Amino acid sequence: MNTAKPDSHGDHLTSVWYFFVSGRWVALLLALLAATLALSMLLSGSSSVSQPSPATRVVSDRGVGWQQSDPFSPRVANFGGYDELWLRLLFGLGVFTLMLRTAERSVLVLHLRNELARARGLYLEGEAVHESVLHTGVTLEGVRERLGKRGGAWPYRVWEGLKETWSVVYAERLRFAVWGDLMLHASCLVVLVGVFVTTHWGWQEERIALARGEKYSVAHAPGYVLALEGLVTHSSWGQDDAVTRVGRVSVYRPDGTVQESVVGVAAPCFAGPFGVFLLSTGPALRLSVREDSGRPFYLQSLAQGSKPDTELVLKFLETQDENSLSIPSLGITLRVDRYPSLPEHGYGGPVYLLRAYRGNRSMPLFSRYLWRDEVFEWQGLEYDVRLDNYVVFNIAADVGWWLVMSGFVGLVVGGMLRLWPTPVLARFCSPQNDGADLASGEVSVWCGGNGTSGDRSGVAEDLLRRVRRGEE
Amino acid sequence: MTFDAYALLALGFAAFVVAWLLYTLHLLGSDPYLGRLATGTLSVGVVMWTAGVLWRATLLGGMAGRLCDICVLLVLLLTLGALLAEKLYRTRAFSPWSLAVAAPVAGYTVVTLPYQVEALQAVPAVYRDARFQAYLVVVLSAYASLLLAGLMASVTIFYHPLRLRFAGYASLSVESLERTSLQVVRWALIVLAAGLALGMWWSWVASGLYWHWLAAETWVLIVWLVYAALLHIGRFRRWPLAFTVGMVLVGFAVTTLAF
Repeated sequence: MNTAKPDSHGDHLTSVWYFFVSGRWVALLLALLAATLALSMLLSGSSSVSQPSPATRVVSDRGVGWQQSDPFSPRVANFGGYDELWLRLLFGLGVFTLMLRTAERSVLVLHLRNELARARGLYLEGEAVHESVLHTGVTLEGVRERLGKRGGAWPYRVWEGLKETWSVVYAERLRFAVWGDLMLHASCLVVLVGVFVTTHWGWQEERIALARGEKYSVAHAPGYVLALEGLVTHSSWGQDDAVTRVGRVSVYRPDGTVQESVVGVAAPCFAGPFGVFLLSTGPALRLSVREDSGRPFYLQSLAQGSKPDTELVLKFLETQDENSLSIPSLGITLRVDRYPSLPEHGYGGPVYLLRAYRGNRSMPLFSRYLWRDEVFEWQGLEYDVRLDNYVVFNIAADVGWWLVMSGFVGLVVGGMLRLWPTPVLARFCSPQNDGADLASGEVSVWCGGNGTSGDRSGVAEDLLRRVRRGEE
Repeated sequence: MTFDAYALLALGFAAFVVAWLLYTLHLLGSDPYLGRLATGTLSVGVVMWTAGVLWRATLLGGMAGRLCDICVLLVLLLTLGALLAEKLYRTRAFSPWSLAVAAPVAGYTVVTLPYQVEALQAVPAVYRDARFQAYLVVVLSAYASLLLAGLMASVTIFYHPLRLRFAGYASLSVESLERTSLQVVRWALIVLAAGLALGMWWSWVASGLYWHWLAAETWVLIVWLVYAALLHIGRFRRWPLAFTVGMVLVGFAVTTLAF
């Protein structure tokens, strides 16, 4: 993948051009980028960060537990400050270089006939794999007919040589490699443009935890409200402990319409300008307190920014085993601890310990183990506890994603086009000026660097066999 | 994992060991019968190992990025790559090198698998997605190919003593070894790019963002960049062969870091 040396002498602009399109400059850029990423990973992340946290284990427990705990949380590369600036510089240089190389390849694609020498330097081995004298009579039209019109997966193209005193006919199968190379570079450019679009115009609201009945106003899409209507649990693979949960959501639009959808693992729903992605689910406890007459008390969670309500949902995040709330009118503080199991107390599965305190006394007013939906009384107060689940969503909108994916598809297709068909260039020469008869001419065949020497010689022999076959 | 799946993996490992011995004997004396026997034994081993891998995947709901999953897949892909290289390049010179890496990994897997608690756990639902499974297989295929290319480059380094000792290397030339290893690198890069795309697709549908700077995906990108730099560095015929081989081995080392 290098570039032929410039023909000009002392032309500084041309020298700069050839420097920036040269393969070695690209190699240097790629190596610097790789080194930057590797160093950032090795220096900024500890071993504990590079390993998945214990929370990424599936904790499945008879339907109440975490599911597919966020596998995306342990990020090991964090860019900020000078290294981010350096990374942006490298990306900028990469885009600039790709633009130049794409332009260069475009010239080759459009003017391959005039640029055969340069294409030969780029895609073919320097020495011919075959050089001989044609003993059988072959005409220009004969070559064209036997190679050009005959089909096959990768057909040859035949044309006369230009500006040469001898009669020359070229048969090339070089254009696929040139097209593939162009597609490769253009696709890389599209990928980088997509990353740029994502960085500047894509948005995401991460880790929105919603319990059944809760709503969330999307900050980046005013007027849109996401609500979780419920959770559906079903087992997978016939195993009791392998459950999958999907969330039934409603998206309220500014025009008053409501879109109801189901969001599952790797099965997002798209509502308006954004998508809703299910990240994980977790256990929650729904709690309400009433007096004998049935009048509910207002409960206040001790989490920042929470509002009092007659029914509270306590969400137990992966790294959070306890929750606290208060009953302001009674001066009671409730603390709930979640345990995966308490075998010493006879609980083989998840269990909650509810304790009540008054004032700053260290001894609880009461404590109770809860492992199922339950209603119990204490000193005239009715405590209604229900086990529930919450869902963690991401909301995202990103046009750049489509560019990035298209770029990668183009990259793969371009790469296959570049590598699969062996690039071949055959030159038939005759000392006669009219080019009508190449019977006593020379033939040279160049092949690309693909395959072994035997394969490339085989390609040359196959080409010559097809040319000579017309005389049989 | 049931005994049946485990037994298949163990049988596959045994076949790999026998195949390695047969390949060594074949290359010593260039005996075609031994060569065919070695290829046949390797093929049987691949079939057993594949059956064990598929059985295990069926029981557990697929594969995640756990060490046990990576090991079983890597062994499968290395041995398949060796068979493919035999078919494409019509030589058995690379198979013993591939088995020299695959067999110990297979042995480690077989010995430690029954004691790995996480190896017996069902795969989380998010990893059972077809896109993630495809991403795992494709990326590991590319890694196996790059490891193979590195092994081919190692053969180039030890070419002369190998040629003196093993008659089976006489038909190869240093230039064809170099060209073959680079060709494998080129194709592996295309496959790795496809793997990156699959991983980004899965990441996007699972979370709404296609890149998270996680260790696994970042290392895939680093490996891709290193080998892409290698391929751009210039025409190798103007550089000493050792430089080319050295670059491939540097990439080989980076690839092993990815694990």
